[in-house]
This record gives sequence, structure tokens and C-alpha cells, in this order.
Amino acid sequence: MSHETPDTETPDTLGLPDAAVATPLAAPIAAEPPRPIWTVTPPSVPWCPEEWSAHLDAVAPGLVRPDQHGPLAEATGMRAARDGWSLLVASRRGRLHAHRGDHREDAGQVLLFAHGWCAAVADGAGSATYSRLGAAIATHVATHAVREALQHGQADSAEPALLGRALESGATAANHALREFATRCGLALRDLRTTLLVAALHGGRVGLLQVGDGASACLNADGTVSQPLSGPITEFSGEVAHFLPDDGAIEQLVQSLVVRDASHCAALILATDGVEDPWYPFTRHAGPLYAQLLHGVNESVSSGGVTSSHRAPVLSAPDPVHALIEWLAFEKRGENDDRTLCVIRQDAVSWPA
Amino acid sequence: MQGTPIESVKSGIRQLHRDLLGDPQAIESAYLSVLTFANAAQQIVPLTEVAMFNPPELQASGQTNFGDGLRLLLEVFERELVRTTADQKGDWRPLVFILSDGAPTDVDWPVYAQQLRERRPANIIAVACGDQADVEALKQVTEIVIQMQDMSPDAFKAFFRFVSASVKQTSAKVGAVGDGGGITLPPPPPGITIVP
Repeated sequence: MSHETPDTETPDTLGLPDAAVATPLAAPIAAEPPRPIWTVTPPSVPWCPEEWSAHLDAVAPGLVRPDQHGPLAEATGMRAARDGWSLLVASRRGRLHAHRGDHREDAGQVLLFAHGWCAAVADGAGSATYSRLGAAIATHVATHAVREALQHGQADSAEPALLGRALESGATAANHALREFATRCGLALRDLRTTLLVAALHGGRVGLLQVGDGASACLNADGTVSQPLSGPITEFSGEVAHFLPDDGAIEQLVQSLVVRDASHCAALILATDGVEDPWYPFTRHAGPLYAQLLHGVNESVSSGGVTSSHRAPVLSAPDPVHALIEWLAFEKRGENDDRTLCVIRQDAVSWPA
Repeated sequence: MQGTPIESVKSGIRQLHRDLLGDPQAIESAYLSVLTFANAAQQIVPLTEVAMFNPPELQASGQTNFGDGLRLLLEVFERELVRTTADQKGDWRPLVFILSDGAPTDVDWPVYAQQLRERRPANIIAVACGDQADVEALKQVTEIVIQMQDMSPDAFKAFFRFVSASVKQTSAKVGAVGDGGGITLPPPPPGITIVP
């Protein structure tokens, strides 16, 4: 079934509360361990310094800032559908950033074009001062560059390398935009450090590339789950071998490229580590995660120690964007990072598991 | 370390604990352990989650068996740290503060210092307390050595606030150590300098 949406997908947002919700710490009670008390505090600094706005517009024209349409967006998301594919992405500020009054450093983006789509998620490094800008620029520029490279191509393109080249051009464009922004603003490259995971469909093939952590999973028509890409495993949590726009990162991105036939792919999931870590290992838990989105949370679904407050199905909800934003508020002890999840479904292919 | 300084360290650990109990992320994810080294090394408190941690009594005595302290540190890393595998997510790289106000009295310490430098199982910050501390020995263990000349209670109080801020800051995503990354510490308080 073909269900088309305009090329200008509209972001949906949840606003921050006007004032901080300051909860006083309770006095410790003897013999009972203290419980964590989380607060929600708006960021005290602008998402993008005013003097850099023109530079941001120059390197990422059309980028929708999270504070562009009113109060700063606590969470954001969008959906789109075309040619038998449905795309849904949401990004939510984690509890730790909310508690400390920091910005969300994740970003996500989906774009449609003739005979295909492109999606990206990114997680700005917490140790980098302006990684939120890095993640937003990287996802925006990469997806738009891929669309630019593919939107005039034929759906049944006989050239298998076309998709790979388009993804490489998207990665290169994102890297270039980050470096250009750093130069214009007088920033060090490390100030913009971000991961990047990009996927695109064209000519019946799906291609992916990745630098840094985060995870992808393909839910296949035969009920299996495959992981086309995954970041290198580091010995300790929170350590990433390569970030954009560091030297050598673009080579990592290009080398990671995978292109495969999309005909048996019922769904493709892209996640930043804020989602991957609570559901680790993703190869084992991506299936139950998708089942939650599809059917809702019930006792028969293995949740990997995750407690979900949003128990209704997400993908069939009247407003899937808000439903996914609410679902991303799931809880797991010690897992309080920003979360970004992109779910791409092929309507004609069902996932039997 | 004896007298007022050791009392200040004890007080500082209690202060650190109180401070971390006020941080929800620390309650959910931080663990504390205390090791001492005198005639021999001892793990006074095993790695314990913040909510269950009881600040220990510390007693200064005997010599400075630095080598045994480093040996025990390596042993604790092997025994208590969880590394990331394909099946499980590991711990964050530990943050270790080594406080010393003297010079090693054993001869084996360079062997363990070298092992620590090579394996990099933790982000180690060595603290040279007072003017009798052997800065060069500490430099053999880690490139991050800070000097705290003033050993007054107020100086230790400021130092442990720095420790607390460092613990809270280390749950940020960083570049891998092998890739030239590593942690970024908060600025040290006045009176504490980073040894170049």
C-alpha cells in the first residue's frame, strides 16, 4: 500500500516545563538505603549560542532547532511513510541531563525521497561541550546529502554501488559540515564529537554505516534478528573508539558500509546507546523490544530488566510519535542517558516472532 | 599519614559519601572501595554501592608498602570489575585516587607501577600530600599527579569535593583511552596543583 507524505516532515515535540521541578532530598531513614530522587531542570544555556546561528544555518541549512518553535523541546520525533515503508523516530532527553539541567545530546532524523528513504541517529559525546550541535548537524547533513545523491535515481537502479556511494557522500558531507562549523565558531573538533548511524533504502537494497556506538537490528521475515552493524566492543562502558569529526573517523564510517537486499526485512531498528545499553545485547533483545512496540508490554515479552510505564502498543497508536516518546521513558537502574530510537517498517513484510 | 591528616581523610570520605548520596546517578551506578597500605595492603571496604557503603575507620601505622598497595589494586581490578563482552555490558572505567604523604619503603613497587601503566585498568589520580610525598614514584604509576601542599582539614575538605565532582563527571561518554581519549577532570580547587 502506498501512503505518501510530503517531503517536509513535521517534527513533533514535547515542551519543557516552565520552571524546574525541585524536589527536596528526603532525610535518610535508618536501615533503608536512600532512593535516587530525580528532578527536571531546564538547561541554563541556549541550545546554540546566538552568535553561531548564522554558521549553523550555513553548514546545515533547514535544520530544525529544538527551540525553534517555542519552548525548548524535551523530546522530539517525526514519522513518515511512502512506497510501503513506514518510518518513526523519537529522541528523548535522559534523566541525568534533565536532572543536571543539560541539553539532550542525541539527535534523530528521517527523510523520504522518490523510491527511498534515509534515517540517522547520533549521540553527542557527553565529554564534548557542544556535542548536541554535533549530533544535530551530523544527522541533518548526512540524511540530506544521501537524499540529494539518490532522489533522482531510478527505483530499479541496476547499479548496486549507487546506494553505497550515496551513503559515503552523506558521511563525508556530515564530517565536512562539522569541521566547517568548528572552524567558523573557533571550536576544537573534539567539542563537536558525536557518533553517527545512518541507514538508507534505494533500489530494493538497504545500506548502513556507523561510527561510534549505538546499534542497529534487522528483523527478518523468517523471525530471525540480525545485526548488520555494531560498534566495536570496548572494555569499559562509555568509551568510544571513534567519533566524528575526529581524524580517521570518516574512514571508519566508510569502512563500515553494509548494503543488503531489503526484500526480507520486516523492520529495521536504529538506536543510540541510551536505548542499546538497557537492551544489551541488542541481538538478543531487539526482538522483544520490537514486540513491545508492536503489541504493547505484556508479561510474555522478555524486557531485559526494563520497566515500561507506557504499556500500550506504540506502532499502532493514534499518535505514534508521542507514544514512542512516552515509551522511551522506560526505566532501568543506572540507565539514564538520552535515548533515540528509529523504527523503519516494510508494510508488506510481517515479522512472525 | 598520621594525626590530623588521617582524621581529615576519614572526614573527607564521610563527606564524599554524603555528597554522592545526594546524586541520583551516583546512587544508581557508583560503587566505592577503600584500600590502605602501611606494612601491608588491605582492602578495608570492598567495592560497594554508594547506598550500602559505610565510611570506614582508618588507622595510620607502620611503613609505606606502596608495592603491596599497587599489587592489591591490580588484584581487586581483576576480581571485582566487570568488563564488557558480547553478552554483558561492563562497568565504567574506575576512578582511583591514591593518597600518599611519604616515599615507598618497599623495593617491589616499580614492577606493579609498570603493570598499572601498561594495563590501564583505571583512571588513576595520584595525590602527593605535603612536601614529603615522593612525586616521582607517583609519576611512575600515572601521568595524572596532583600536589596538595596544605594538609589542613579545610584543604582535605576541598579535595574531597573535587573527588566527588570527578566521580559525578566520569559517567560521560569519552574517547577510548587507547585512542588518546580518557577523562576530563573538573578544575582542582585552589591549593591543589597538577604536577606537570
